[in-house]
Amino acid sequence: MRHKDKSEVVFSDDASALIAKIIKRYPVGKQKSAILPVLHIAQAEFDGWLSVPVMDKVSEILSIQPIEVYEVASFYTMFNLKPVGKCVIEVCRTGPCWLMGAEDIVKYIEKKLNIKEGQTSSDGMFTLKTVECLASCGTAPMMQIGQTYHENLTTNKVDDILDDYRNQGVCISHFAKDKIKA
Amino acid sequence: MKKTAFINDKPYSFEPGDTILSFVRRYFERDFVPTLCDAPNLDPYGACRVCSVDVALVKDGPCKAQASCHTPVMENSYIYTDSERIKRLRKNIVELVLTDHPLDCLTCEVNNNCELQTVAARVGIRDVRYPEGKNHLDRKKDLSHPYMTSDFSKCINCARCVRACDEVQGEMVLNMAGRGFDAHIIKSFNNNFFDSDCVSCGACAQACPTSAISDVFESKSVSADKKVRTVCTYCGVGCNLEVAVTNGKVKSIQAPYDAAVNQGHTCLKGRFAFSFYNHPDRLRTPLIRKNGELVPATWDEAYNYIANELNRIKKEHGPDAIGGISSARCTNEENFLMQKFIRAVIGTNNIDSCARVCHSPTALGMQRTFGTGAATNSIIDLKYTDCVMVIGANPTDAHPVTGAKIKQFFMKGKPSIVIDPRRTELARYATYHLQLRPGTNVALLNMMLYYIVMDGLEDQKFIESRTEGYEDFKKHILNLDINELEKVTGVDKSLVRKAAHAYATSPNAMSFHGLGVTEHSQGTYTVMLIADLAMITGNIGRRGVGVNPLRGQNNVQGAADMGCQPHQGAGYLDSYDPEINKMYSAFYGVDVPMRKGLKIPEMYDASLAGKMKAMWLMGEDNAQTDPNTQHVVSAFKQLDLLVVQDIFLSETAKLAHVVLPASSFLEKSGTFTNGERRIQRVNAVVEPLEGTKPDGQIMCEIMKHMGFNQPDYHPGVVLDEISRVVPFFAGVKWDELGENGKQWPVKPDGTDTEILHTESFKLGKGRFQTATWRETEELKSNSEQFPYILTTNRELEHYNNGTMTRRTGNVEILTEDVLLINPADAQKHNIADGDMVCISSARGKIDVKAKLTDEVKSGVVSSTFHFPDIHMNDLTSSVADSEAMCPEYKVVAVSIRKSKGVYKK
Amino acid sequence: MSRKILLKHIDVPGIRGLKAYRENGGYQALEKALKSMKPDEVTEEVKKSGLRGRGGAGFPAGMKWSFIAKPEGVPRYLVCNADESEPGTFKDRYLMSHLPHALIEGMIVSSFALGANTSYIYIRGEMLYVYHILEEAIAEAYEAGLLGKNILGSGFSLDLYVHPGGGAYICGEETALIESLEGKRGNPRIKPPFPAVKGVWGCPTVVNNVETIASVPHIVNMGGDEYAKIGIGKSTGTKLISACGHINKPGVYEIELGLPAEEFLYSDNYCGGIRNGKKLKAVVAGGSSVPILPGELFLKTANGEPRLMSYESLADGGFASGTMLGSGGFIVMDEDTSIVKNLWNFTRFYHHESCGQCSPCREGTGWMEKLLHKFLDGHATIEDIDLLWDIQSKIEGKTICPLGDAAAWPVASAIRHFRSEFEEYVKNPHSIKDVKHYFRINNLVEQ
Repeated sequence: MRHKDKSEVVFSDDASALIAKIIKRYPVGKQKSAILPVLHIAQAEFDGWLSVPVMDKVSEILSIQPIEVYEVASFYTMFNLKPVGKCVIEVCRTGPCWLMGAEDIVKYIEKKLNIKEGQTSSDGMFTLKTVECLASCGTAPMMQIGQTYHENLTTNKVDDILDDYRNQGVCISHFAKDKIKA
Repeated sequence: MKKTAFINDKPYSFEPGDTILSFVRRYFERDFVPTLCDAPNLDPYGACRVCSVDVALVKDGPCKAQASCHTPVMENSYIYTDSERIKRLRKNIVELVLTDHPLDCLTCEVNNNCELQTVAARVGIRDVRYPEGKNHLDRKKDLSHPYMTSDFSKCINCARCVRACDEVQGEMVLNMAGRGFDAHIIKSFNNNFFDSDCVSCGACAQACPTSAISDVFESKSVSADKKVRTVCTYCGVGCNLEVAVTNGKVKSIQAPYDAAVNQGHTCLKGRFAFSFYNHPDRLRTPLIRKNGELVPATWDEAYNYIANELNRIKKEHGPDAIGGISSARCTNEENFLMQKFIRAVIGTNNIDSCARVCHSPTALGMQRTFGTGAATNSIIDLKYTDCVMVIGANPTDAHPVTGAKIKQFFMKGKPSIVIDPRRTELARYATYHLQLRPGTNVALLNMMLYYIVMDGLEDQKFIESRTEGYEDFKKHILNLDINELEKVTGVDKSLVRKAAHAYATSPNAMSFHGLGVTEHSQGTYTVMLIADLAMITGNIGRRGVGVNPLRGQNNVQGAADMGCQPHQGAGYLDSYDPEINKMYSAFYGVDVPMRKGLKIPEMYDASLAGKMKAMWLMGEDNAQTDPNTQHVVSAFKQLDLLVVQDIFLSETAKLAHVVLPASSFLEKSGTFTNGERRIQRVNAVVEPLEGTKPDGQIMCEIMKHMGFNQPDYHPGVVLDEISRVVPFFAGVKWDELGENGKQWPVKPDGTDTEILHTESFKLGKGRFQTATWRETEELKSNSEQFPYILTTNRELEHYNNGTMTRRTGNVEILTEDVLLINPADAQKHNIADGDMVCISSARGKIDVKAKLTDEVKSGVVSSTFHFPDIHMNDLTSSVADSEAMCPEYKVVAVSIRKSKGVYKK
Repeated sequence: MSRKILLKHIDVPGIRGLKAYRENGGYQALEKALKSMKPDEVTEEVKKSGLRGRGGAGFPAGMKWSFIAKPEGVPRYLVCNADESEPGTFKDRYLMSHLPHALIEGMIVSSFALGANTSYIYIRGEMLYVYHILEEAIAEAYEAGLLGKNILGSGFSLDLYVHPGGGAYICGEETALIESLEGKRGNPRIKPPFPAVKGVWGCPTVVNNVETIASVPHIVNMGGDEYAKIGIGKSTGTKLISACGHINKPGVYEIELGLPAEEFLYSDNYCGGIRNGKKLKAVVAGGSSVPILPGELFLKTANGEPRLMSYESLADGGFASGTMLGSGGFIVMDEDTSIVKNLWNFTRFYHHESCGQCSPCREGTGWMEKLLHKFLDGHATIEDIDLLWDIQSKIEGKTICPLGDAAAWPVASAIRHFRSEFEEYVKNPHSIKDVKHYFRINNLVEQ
């Protein structure tokens, strides 16, 4: 594990500045409101998932109890509470996408990467998740990787997209890394 | 005009703010409408939906199912509690809940006392129609904690535990994690009870409708033979307890929801720390010292021995060579008998109690300003106040149930002030924490008064109509050198000003104080200034205001009320006044003395001077708990006769000539008076342990043994006697106290009093009193050689010197005393967290483990004396409050260094 | 019936930026409101316009605004519900990512009307790229003096912030959204108190959908009366419909309310008919929560009237034969679609998204999903159809928030209109499996 406890969790200067800026968006004493944006930033900063030390650090930053972070982090599906691959593939599985063949896309990726939904490929590159409707029903089936929506998927398209990410080899999170500038 | 709505087509009137459920419960049984997520001490939650009822806005109109627990009653609406539709709905909901609940009722600890089981039976569940599927029945039990247990396979996600933890205790240890079907209770992240921040108050276990959270005593099981309601013996909050008894032994304790004091809540001491009562260490026979050894004796032998010795000493040295120390842990009746024994049988005013070492300055300070030495208001006033000031008190540890209520107030974000040298739990939530240097309370309160006067925030109307002495007082205040006071206290004056404004400008402001106020050389003066603050801002005599001492022990109020102090007899009447002396003499049927009696520290001095020959201690362990231990021990050793009544062979009992085995609070009846003047009935739960006797019975028997005509002991009889001599007990009757007792003064017709001084003070007008800050002698003489200030405090898990709590599971939770030390100071002395530290004062030196924390400022260290092995009171001084002689436990000049030879465990 | 208001300038190059937006009439409503109107007058125009909440419930927006409590010294808040997550709905994402300033202008005008000086756009966390688009547009607006202190010299000040969610459908419910904005789990609150009295941080709060707020500047520009003339009856104005499923031309369409349903489905200006020449089987007209209708009942009401795309016409016949306009998430299913399997997917969705507070929803959605799985596995009995009906009826209207209804309605309507299909699963499980009941397999593998 990257951090033994919260004292080892150090946000980058840019991230700290952005967090400070975000906290100011809420009334004095209501800094707890910043928890979701701060967790997004934390996930972007620390390998795409939230370890207990990272969550403890967030609770310290927001002056709230650690458990207030745990209960929130575990409620919202975007937060990964276990380590993930460098690249998290999130395939929409809800009605409209599924009408258009999302299930086949999932099966295709599972076979391609030799993993099941929820697992990470043996090289640590990809984690496959299925998620609920991403408001991209008109361009179904679709999947999200990091910030990017990949729409009107076909198996060939999936091949190309995954190849691209593998070549880039970058860590992908929802919160665009390049936006972590206050 | 009352508003009406219809329940099952019959009209009933409802109150503003009624929900459908509270409305129905006004007229029907509590379970008339079944519920699962509702609990008496929690806010409506609306999640289980079992409480649904049909509601039509007009007669025979269309019905809509509404959750009754949170839906307001609509005027003229028609509520149907048991329509066929609703019955089917409830049944279906419960059926769904049961699909994810083990059906092992017969072997479950809460069988026949399970709300889910009751509701299931009520709605007529016979079988569950849903197919097998994914469930949570394989969740593991948590047995990590000495008291708390959980088995979340039984959890029905009603969140009552989470809400109890948040709304009742304010600890936020339990929470719901995950979502939907995966929603589950967590104790911090995947943690167990023991490793979590749980304070073991047990509110969650009591709130849980099943056995998903419970305790090792299985307090929700129905196996008890009987349940007895009594009052907790620990702190001055006075929680009511419901004690379950099986086979003549205490099985478990719960807190009754209808208790006025604690409303279904209590702390780990009250709820779980009872196993001391039948601990093998309990004394079971009288002991008499023979040839230097304490050897077992019969009661008659003991009484004869004592009577002979007392008579001899009285004859040889006069009655004033004998003294008694009564106990704030004992009942009113026992305290009354003790002072009666000393005054009427022995014939001396040498009677004092442990109130001397805790709240004697409160009594005196409030008597000098208001005329009455007791809390002006009630704890329930926290619901009505707008600002709370806590001075020198740490109620979340020392008065946990009141502490939780204050914490709830603080968490709401209303103005709150903490004046304390330590960053206590409440200080962390307070709007203003004035972290003063120990020993400067008077200076700090003067600063607050200064700003109130300077900034024109006085309540002129109140000052004019209700007080006297204001002009002189004002002159004194305006002459203060505010910059000098700022330097003395070490608190930024602008912060003090803000706090003063918050207190003065809130519509209703309430203050609480504890031993951090009284246990100082200027304790009484501090209390007087707190009273001044209340008077100058008009915060006296109505709901949500007042001066409210947090009493340390269960019956400090009562011990003082009963006359266990030399200068005042039962009812605080002046024992040195000839008229009153006549009244007392007539009442007791013998001449009682008018000569001045000795306070506790004076008794020690008298003993060392050879004037005090015998002392009788009822339930006190002064050799442990009084300051400057070596001095106290030498005093006891000088005596011809030391009698100690106790439940254990305490350090003091080990020095005694006669030890009398007393009964614990679970084994006796009587009354305790809590910190809000509430006289409550203590009811014997089990028979006295064989060989022991209730303290009151011991007193009666010795009185008779010495030829005094005292009837056999019965609390009702003694209480009747008290009511005839203590004016504010006039209407107190054993059979009329009810479950929630009465708050004194109780008029002859039985009506009691929640708030004092509503119309006038006992003194007529309130008296402003000035006080000028002075550095304590302890620091003046010793701070050069001993540059640090040691201040003593308490931890939640233990009570006083731990005689009781160390004989319970609490000792597994908090295992030792530690020294809180600021990291900067620690670094200076090369002390690391966990190192042993040697602390020295002018009296002695001890070793204790260091805990580095910013709870204390640099220059201040703090510790507890729950574990006698540490001998903390070897350090404390004999300096005492100049007025009431309460010892200064809170300021000790010490030096620190890393201990030699003893390293981190 | 092709009048465009919200999307009129969607194709203008650079319309995402402030410059192009202003050049095409942007922020005129703001100037008009701040310089020539009182806050209550703005509210009055919105009332007159008949604008109804575009998030799904269709509650009149002006009336919702008029409920806001105005205690002395207590701040008021406007929160935009941009947590678009109703399956089949993607209009708000489209609007925000193409026309961020349309929402921002709407937020400023609406905040002015409500007396809010701090407002938030609560956007789905998954749409963090749109979050960044909005952040950039807001920065532009601050730069231009359209946000911040003393906007356009009017004395009105507003701070506008975007707040990302974390992935929870339930946060589209306004009280759950408020809880989430406060940094808590998205558990809906019991009501009363309503948000208009006690909303975010205990202060009076209005929560409105993106499209609703974006419509406000147009109402201010043209006047409420003029806006009310667009549309039909109480369905005033235009509505964004996001069309998806088995149609030729999926996408977001702005329609004038009252457009014939048949025209919308088959005209090449809109959906362009069913893909691959297949026949229409069923339509979910307003997002996954609304009752599913068989094709014929969607096109014509039970009385044989042509169905119109309006609040009233779609609801014609009640739940027996009608449905709801909802959020405008328009999902079309062709003849090969398995209603039972589709329902299983929707129910799985609601089970996954239940917050877990209310027992009927937490447990009930799970058991509905399990029962539906029984059908798909071929183990169901005829009694299971009744059991399924029974459970949904015990969820509908029996929970704190409408997620319970949303989970129940699809089940009820599927059984109501397609019971025979359920029976077929019971009687002939194997034959159904043979006809690929696992949906139509798209031609995903490119040749």
